[in-house]
Amino acid sequence: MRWGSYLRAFARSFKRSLKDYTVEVYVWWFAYLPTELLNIALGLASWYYYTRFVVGPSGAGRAEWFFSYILLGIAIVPLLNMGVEQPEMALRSLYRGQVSTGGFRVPLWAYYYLAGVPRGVAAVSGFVFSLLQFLVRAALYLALGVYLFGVELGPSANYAGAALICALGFLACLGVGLVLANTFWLFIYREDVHVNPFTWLFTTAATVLGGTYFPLEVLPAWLRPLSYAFPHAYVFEGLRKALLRGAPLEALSRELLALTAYAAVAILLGALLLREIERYVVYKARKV
Amino acid sequence: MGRAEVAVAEKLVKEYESYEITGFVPMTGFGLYALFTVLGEKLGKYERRVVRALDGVSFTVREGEVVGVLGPNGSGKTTLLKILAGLTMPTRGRAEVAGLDVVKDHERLPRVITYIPGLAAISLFARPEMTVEWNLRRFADLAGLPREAVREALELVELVEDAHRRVYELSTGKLARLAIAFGLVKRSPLYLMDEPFTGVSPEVKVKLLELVKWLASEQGSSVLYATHILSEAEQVCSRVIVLHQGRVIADDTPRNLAKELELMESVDVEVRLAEEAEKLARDLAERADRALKVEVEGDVLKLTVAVRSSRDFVQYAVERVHAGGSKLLYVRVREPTLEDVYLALLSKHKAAEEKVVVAPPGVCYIFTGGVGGG
Repeated sequence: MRWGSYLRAFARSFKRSLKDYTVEVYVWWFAYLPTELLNIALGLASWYYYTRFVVGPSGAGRAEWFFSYILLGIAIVPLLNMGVEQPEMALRSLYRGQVSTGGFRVPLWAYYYLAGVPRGVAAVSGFVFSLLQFLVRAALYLALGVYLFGVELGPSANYAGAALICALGFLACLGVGLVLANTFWLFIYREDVHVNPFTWLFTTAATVLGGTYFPLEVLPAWLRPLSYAFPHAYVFEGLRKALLRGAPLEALSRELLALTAYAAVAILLGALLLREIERYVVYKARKV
Repeated sequence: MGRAEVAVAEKLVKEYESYEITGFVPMTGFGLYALFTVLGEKLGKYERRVVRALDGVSFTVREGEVVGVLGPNGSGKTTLLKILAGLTMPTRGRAEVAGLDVVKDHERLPRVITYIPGLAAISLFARPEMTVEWNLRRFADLAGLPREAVREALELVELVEDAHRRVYELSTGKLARLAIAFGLVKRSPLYLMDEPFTGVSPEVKVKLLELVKWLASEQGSSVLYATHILSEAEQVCSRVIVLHQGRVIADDTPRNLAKELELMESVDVEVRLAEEAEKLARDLAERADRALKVEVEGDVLKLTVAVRSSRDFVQYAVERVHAGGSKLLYVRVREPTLEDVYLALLSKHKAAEEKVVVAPPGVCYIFTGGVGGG
């Protein structure tokens, strides 16, 4: 019964996000959609010509492979980083309010709450909406890469394995995101900070050291253990194996296992910490 | 009485934490500021303070009652309403709305309350670049309410003609009406209105105050109406709760409060003289507690006096004027206004706090109107 009402509230909240998004696209459609597509296409073109320049005229075939390698990194990394950043961002957008008439502070959660949508449901629906947006963006990257720039993902690409790696990688990043979301309550809540330094540090380090642009073998030996502390490293290794080399599921077992363990521990820990800390801060420390 | 209790507050306490920077905290930008502020706190750069916004507040609101919450700025009116709306948690004490505990039943609370925070509702509920109707529908959809509710709310606040105008095109008065409309989309047993008519012109305010009365009398809803504009409270409230520094210093009808404070009524008398003005004025003034004004214009005596019992004074005045052969032209009795009550209460409490002898009964105020609703 309770879950039924949560589901209905979720549907209403999701519809609200969609309605707002549609309005933004509708109001700015002449700039919004073409700019978004152009942004992706220009980003891809930069990498496309960069790889040709790096490989040189003699490296026929290698430039295409290098471009495919990079494409998988730049298409998927926003999705992974979104999993890390979004839980804290959802909290920040819900609790950060603007000061209105008479010094009245109006956070977004009050709007949802007064409409009968619990905070948690509003946060989850916002998260799911962002996830869909990032999924579409990742799909656009891959589609434009394949159809516009002739990327070949290997003759026997293992799409199912790649999808599984991506899903587990996203869940692992989400777990990290849940752990890092606690930094909002612990450090950010009172401050006028627009960037969370903890999630920023994690995503930046993970993007560079996790192998978005290059294989981890090129890193100094002392830095590699740090790279493997990020779920990104397993995602990119597994993804490239599956799509560029057509590795079967068994060959991806190391990455799958690592990501499963990562996701399970991080999600449990993150959810537990978040629940307890939020409960303490919101109810006991009376900061609502 | 015999009406159900819609809202109950018992010994509510609300404390806010505030921090003051007492030392240098480097501003680094880029989020690392957060780290430094944490370090600053640990190193004692921040001084923690606790501000008590509410202190043992208790009261009840019955079905169909419009109760005014009065108090100066910072007296705790908004905090009290936010607690009852579930938007902030009490530190101690208990509050129930329609049988729901504001802490334990927090999630179910929005079903039984409508919170109208005045113009703040616009920043909270509206996208200014979209139309009035679009914004109301957006809220109604989110709350799972039917579309007809939007039309009804627009009609009640007389915004039907502006339904297709963008919110940023509206005047302040219409924005205030839209803020009310957001509340009226959802009908509830308890309306919590926090200075809802700020910026509204007098003629519109009269209509909106009638609407508040209608909610109570026709819909059977209860209204807790926080304001520091006493004339508004005077028009709609059957009872007032006066807050001062987070405490309830009065909870009664304005009329009873005036009695309790021994505030006097004022009586205006106009007489066409057939005797010496000075003698008549002296006789009348002697029967009053205080003479406020004596004027003679030609053969007309105009007298204003303050009295504890207007009935006795008026009876005496009629007899005395006739006995002297003069003609009584005009008599008007004015009860103490809510403003008189409010100011007397505040001065009494301030005096008590400062351990100064309270002004003796009989202190007069310049009366400007009658106490309504009592």
